[in-house]
Amino acid sequence: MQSATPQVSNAIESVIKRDRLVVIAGVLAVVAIAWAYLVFLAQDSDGMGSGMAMAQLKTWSAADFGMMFLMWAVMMTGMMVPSAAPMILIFATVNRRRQEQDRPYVSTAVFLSGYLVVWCGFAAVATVGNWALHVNDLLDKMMGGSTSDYLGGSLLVVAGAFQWSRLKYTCLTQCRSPLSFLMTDWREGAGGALRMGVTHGIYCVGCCWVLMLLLFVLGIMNLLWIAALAGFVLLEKVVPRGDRMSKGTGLLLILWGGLMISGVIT
Amino acid sequence: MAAKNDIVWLLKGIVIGACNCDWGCPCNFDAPPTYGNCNGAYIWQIQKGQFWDVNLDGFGMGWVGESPGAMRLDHSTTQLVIDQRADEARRVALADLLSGSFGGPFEILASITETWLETIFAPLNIVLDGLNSRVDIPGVLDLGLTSIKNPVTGEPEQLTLVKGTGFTSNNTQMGSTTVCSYTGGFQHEHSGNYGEFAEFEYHSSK
Repeated sequence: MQSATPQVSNAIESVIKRDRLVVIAGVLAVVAIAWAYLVFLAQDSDGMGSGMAMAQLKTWSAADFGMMFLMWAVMMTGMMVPSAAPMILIFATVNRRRQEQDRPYVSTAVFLSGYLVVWCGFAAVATVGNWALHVNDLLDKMMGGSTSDYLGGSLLVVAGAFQWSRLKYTCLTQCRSPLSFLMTDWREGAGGALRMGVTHGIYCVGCCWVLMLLLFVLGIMNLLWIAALAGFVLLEKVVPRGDRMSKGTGLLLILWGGLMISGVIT
Repeated sequence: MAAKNDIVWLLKGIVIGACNCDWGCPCNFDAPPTYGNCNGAYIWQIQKGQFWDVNLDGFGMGWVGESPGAMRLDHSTTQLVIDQRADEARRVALADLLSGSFGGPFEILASITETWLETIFAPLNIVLDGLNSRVDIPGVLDLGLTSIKNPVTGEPEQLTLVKGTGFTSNNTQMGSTTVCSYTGGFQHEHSGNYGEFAEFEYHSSK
């Protein structure tokens, strides 16, 4: 590209836009599959999933663990990939530009894989937590919500307080700023792309892990609640002055938790 | 850095400008060019820059144009100057920025351009020293800023334009040039006319 005339760059820009559509379509497909699976699970009469007849005994078999881990992994994918979409698109655009310039580039799927690896790790931890609550009679059913207003209310208060924490602020800032990500976290090659996906995933977990605990409050398979939490995560990321929104929501969660603990609402 | 989450490029640094008009540069005040036509140049020294994944710290670029009337009437002929030290990726980044496709003041400059001359790749030797700055692009641009001198006392005047709607900068030191001679695709010679020095910060927004 000896003389980069502006007309050539405009052509590149339109190719980039078409590439964005492809990446968006891919992201939507992943999310749609995840949600279809969640809806399928929710169809079961008492939310225990197929073959869960032994769940009444409150001990989990290996198959139970496997099934629940799958559910958590799919749920995390469905909830968190939409929020990762802006970063995924930026990664895709950068590599598309590189491809146009005959420079080494990496598939967006590698970045997404790194991101999902982190959330699968979180899903594993969540599965263990799910089991612990279930076997101690703190969940009304395997995929249910908290039986105790004290537990539910406390989770809400903790989640609300966390919205004000330093960790939340740091992670949310990283999540909301693709420029700082490009400047400080960019790594070359496929291994680098995987690592970038993992890094972004870690920031997301750091920001959202407490919100995920709230699933135990209203029911893990409460689809409306899942959608609401996923929507909130996305809003926190993209809304101008999202940090103020975070803190405001934190106050609301504390209030809600307080009302639940004091028995005013359940 | 709680920045807006749609920022994917950022440029900060110093912009040096010069044109063939009288001191003050009528364009700043929405007035027509002093002598009817407009020959001008902007040179940006990027101190902190990021365009997607390309770091642009320390690189320079320039925009040189001429128009038969006021610049804003979009009959400009434009030539871009890009730092020769830049590798291929940076050249593309700088060219993309200057093309105006990604916003910033470059979009405005591109919108008034009717004819594009071939881009020059050359070393930009920039010495930053306020209104004593120098820009030396061998064979292309010889530019030396100076302050405007009070005609009675001979003392340098301190003239600052604070313009919120200024499109290359919001706070500009206004001066003159000891020498301003462009020999790239144009032949511009306007030593002693207007020169300016300013800090700038631009970033993308969709």
